[in-house]
Amino acid sequence: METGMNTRSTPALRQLEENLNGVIRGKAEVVRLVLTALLAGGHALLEDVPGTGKTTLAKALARSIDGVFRRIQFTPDLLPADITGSSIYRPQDGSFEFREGPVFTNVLLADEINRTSPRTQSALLEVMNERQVSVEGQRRTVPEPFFVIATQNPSEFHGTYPLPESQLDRFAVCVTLGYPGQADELEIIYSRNESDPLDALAVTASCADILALQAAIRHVRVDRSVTEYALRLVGATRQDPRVRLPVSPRGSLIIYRCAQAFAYLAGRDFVLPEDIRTLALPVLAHRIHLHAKARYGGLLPMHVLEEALETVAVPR
Amino acid sequence: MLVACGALALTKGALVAPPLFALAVVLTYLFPARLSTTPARWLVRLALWGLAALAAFLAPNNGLDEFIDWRWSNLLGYLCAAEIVVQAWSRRPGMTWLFILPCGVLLAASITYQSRWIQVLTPVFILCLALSFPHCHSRTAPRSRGVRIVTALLFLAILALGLGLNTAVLRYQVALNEWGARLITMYPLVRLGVSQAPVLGHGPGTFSSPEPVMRLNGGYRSIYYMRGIAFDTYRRGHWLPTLLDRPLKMVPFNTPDVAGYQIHIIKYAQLENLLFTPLETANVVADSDIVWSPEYGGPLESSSNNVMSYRIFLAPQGSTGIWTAPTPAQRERMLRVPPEVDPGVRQLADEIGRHALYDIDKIRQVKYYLLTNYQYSTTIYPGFGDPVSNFLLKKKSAHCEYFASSATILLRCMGIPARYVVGYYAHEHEFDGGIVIRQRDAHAWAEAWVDDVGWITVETTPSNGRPDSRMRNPLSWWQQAKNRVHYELYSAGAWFGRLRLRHLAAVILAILATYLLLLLLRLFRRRAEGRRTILHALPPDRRQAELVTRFTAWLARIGAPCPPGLPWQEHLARLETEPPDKARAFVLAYNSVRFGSGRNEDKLAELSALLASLEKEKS
Repeated sequence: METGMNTRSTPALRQLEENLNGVIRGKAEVVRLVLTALLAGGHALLEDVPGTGKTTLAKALARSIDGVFRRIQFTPDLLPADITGSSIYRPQDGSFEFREGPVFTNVLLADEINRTSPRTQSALLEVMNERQVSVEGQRRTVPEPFFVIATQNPSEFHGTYPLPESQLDRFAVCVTLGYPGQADELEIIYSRNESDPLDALAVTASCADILALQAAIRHVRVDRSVTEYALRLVGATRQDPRVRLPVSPRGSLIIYRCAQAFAYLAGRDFVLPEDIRTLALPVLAHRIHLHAKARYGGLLPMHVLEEALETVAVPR
Repeated sequence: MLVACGALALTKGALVAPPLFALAVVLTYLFPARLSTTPARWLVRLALWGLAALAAFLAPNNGLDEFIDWRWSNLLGYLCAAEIVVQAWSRRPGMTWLFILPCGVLLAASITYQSRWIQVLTPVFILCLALSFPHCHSRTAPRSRGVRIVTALLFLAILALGLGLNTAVLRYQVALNEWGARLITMYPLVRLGVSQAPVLGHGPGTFSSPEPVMRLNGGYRSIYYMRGIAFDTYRRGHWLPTLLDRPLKMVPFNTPDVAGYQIHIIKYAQLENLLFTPLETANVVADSDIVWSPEYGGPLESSSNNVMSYRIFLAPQGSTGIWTAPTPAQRERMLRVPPEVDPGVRQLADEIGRHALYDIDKIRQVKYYLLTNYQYSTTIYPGFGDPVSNFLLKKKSAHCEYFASSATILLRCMGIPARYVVGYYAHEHEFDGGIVIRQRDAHAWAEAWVDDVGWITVETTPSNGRPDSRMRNPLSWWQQAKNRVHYELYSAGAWFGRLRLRHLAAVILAILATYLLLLLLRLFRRRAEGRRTILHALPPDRRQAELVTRFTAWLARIGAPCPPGLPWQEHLARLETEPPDKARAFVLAYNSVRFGSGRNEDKLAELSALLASLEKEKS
């Protein structure tokens, strides 16, 4: 008996995944989650200490899909125009020429996003949500696919501006790479002995393929009971008295879309409740904000979700 | 409990509890660490309180059944103190004041051994504790290491502070006890303002405070002379015998029941046994024993020196009530005019009563004379010699004691038996028709015996000297408000005081029964919701639902029931023993049918067959 298989796109996706796993060793789940966010049309937030491979992952992804990769190193003095671009005066003909900012790219690595001012963060917010920038009254769309991988160091607090809830809500997934295992780390060292694995990466899918995949995942079947299960999980966060800000309807939509993408990546044309459970923490945890008393008691958003996952009945 | 045990170990005293636990309450708000109230802990607390209360109420106390043994009282005090800390440190500090306030009062009652209050408050508190069950949490959130360390340090700090403060508090234990007694009785310690050994001196020997001393309800008059003590012997400005000279003469007060107008009196004054009654009293009924001194025209005393209430039945018209005709010996005492009284007083008396034929007319003449020829003043210099003589013949302005004394002496000179009486002048009506008597209403007047009439109150103090006229400054608005609050509080307390334990027990049992019923209903509703949840988890397709039921039953049979919140695949992966491959295959295939392309009869048949072979295998 066979499970539902997506024969059309599986090879391309499988190769893309293998490409990324070849560069980022021992983090298959993280790679899958990042690809899930990509296929769902969302963005990814990587919370990790320096040197764990965040930039490498972004570069590998960009090279694998033959897309343009840009990187922004966020600093406190970064201005919104440094992200979106600005008009430059041409003295030859007295006109203004718009110079695109780094945001006009396919894959954007926003490094240490919490080190820049809220004003600059909000410039990125608009482009993440609407895929366009407004500069001097003119709207300019960014290329498609447009995928932002943002990073932040969770242990550094000096000179940082914590991301507001509205911006956190725009990231489809929030994951942690973590340190690799010893065997994987050995592999990393030896693989970089002769050359950089990034240089050997082949293009496995074009931008057009990614756009087609983003359209294709919408046809993945989601049974009503699975959707209701996801909504019951979200509802549990809204009824918990310890939660100040529960999951929004955007979160419900994102987890629905990510579940479709996740099932598609697994080679299925239907979503299982297990997919919702697997995606609950990375997709919903960063959208939940607790009351101060709950925080002081040592409670984390993931605990709230874990309780909900244990108590909400899974559809059979 | 740690602090209480530590204090007990050092001093074996309960007095350290209130300030220590009050301090603990304050300190708990400085730290974020919270105690969680689980159902098990709630049950333990409820059981402790229930057992302690049962033991306190049922334990014999040498026949004094209305009092709780002091040891049980102490135990309840400890429980209260511990409960205050537990409540203050609970996870919902906003609600705990509902428990802390009655707990604090119960604590004060336990320390001061106020049995009545303990009997009333303990069942109420247990009820509140029982009703706090919804605030229990069945699971606690994991706490960080830092919070646990802070909690532990806090306990140690509280313990050290408690033991350190122990000695300091013991030094003030008397003051604490008095404070506790005042808190429980709700009123400041009120003493009677009437003089129990009157001496005619410079000023009135009474207090001028507006503190309420008594309250009257009922009767038919607007003014009452509430007599306290009567004196029949005058000696050099002193009225005798004092109360100290009369103890051997106090006899039990027993009169037959009479019907008639009732006056309900509430006595606020404490540490005094005197009962005040109008002259036409026919009977006095109180919860405590009453003794009196009929030989000297009073007083009436109760065995209780606390705040109490008693009822007075007024004698019908023409009846003398409890104050009967004087005996020959009494008569002789009440006609005696001592030799130090100036002969000019006797001449004055003859002159006043010259044209009066009957005793009642003589009394009227005396009243008229004194009221019209003398002025009221709160200060008088008595001078040398007999104060009454000086007043009548020389000074002509004094306060009520002089007027009353003068009237008594004048009437005696006229051959009318008279005595000097101190008490209160009840005149101040309140909003509900009752009369409040204050310290400043203390007054003195004379009483005269007229054959065929009986005892008569002889008021000779000018009207501007009577308490009602001396209220030059009406009560300020805040004083009125305070009096009103006082009254309402006392009414509530009096109502509580009239409650018997069986009434209270019935109410509490009714509330508990209702609460238990609601709990049961809630439980049934949750079970129904749980069943509905499980039903929701079932697929709408009948055949698929049947497969789910069979597989769920199979899992239960092999000793691995799947929790409703866990998918089968994950559950099988977590099992300690490796599940059969058929089980995994069934789950994979079922998922494909259930969540995949939809109902497929062939696939369902295959699944059913697979499941049947699985069931057969295990059995």
